Amino acid sequence: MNTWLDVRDLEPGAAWDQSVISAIQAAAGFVFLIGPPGPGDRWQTFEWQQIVDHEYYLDPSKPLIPVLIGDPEMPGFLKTRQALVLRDTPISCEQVAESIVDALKNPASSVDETKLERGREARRRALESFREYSLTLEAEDIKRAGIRAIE
Amino acid sequence: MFAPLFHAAVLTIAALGFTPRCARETEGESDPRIDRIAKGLRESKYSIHDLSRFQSEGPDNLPRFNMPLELGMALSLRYQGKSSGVSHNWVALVPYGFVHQKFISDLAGFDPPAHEQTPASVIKAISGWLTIQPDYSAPAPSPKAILEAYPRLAELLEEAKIEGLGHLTWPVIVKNVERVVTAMGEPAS
Repeated sequence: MNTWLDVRDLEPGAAWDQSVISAIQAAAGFVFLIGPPGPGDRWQTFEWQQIVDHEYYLDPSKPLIPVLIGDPEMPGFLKTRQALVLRDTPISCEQVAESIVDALKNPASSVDETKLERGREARRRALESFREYSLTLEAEDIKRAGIRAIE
Repeated sequence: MFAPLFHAAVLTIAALGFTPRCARETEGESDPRIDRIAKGLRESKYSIHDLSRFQSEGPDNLPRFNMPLELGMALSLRYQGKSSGVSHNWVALVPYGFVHQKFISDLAGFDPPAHEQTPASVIKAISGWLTIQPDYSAPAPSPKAILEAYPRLAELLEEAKIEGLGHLTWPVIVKNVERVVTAMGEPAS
């Protein structure tokens, strides 16, 4: 399996953003190393944005494997994927590497069905809350229309 | 020409499971507009600021400064949030072609999403940004599915505008967005 890593594979003088975009378009799967917020967030966000713009997160046949370092906040588009947790031990590194290989071989296993169901439930609640907001606005508008008429 | 972009933005926000808020929701109240905007921003975790209308317009040939002012308010909330623990994240939408670097160079380093003043590009830019936020919950409709639903919203709002004698209130926009989002159904994955 070929891998691409910016610090290793970028040619000297190459345009970083264009090279990242090309590498993302050519990739069969993605491993996300997600750590606590830091100064590199801008570049990380740029890479996430490219993956989202190409809608790879909607494709269950594309392995997207989040690897969490510490206890960071996951971006929304990765929430339904099985996350691996990397701890500061050699055993953990080996286990995570093996799990990554398994997930790359079997992309469907990178989707977490329980989290997907939780997402569906969250969506239903969000729609319900939006409906309530709409009804509240409507009721307030009727009151205002009454005041406008009196005025 | 701004209304279709605004409606596309509202549809995208709602379709992705967020509740769109707008200063227009308290139209007609006696509070100054800026107070209502500040209140809306404080009550929201995210805000979207479209800086694409930077060119002079109207008979006096003047640019609009409301959006940059509102973006400044959102930025201050973001910085306050770091100490108060109440988070606020914002995004500025800019026109294509890096022209924003000439009129708002302070945004250098933020890579704001660009759009080309079309509903399709606004849907893509907002979807892209909201999808990476921690509160986004999959499954949600793809930008393509939202774009396919947009003509129906445009049609409903056109009818509502005729009924409203040329005026579209925020409650009417929200009600029709809610109808369209409900009709979109549940995405598969």
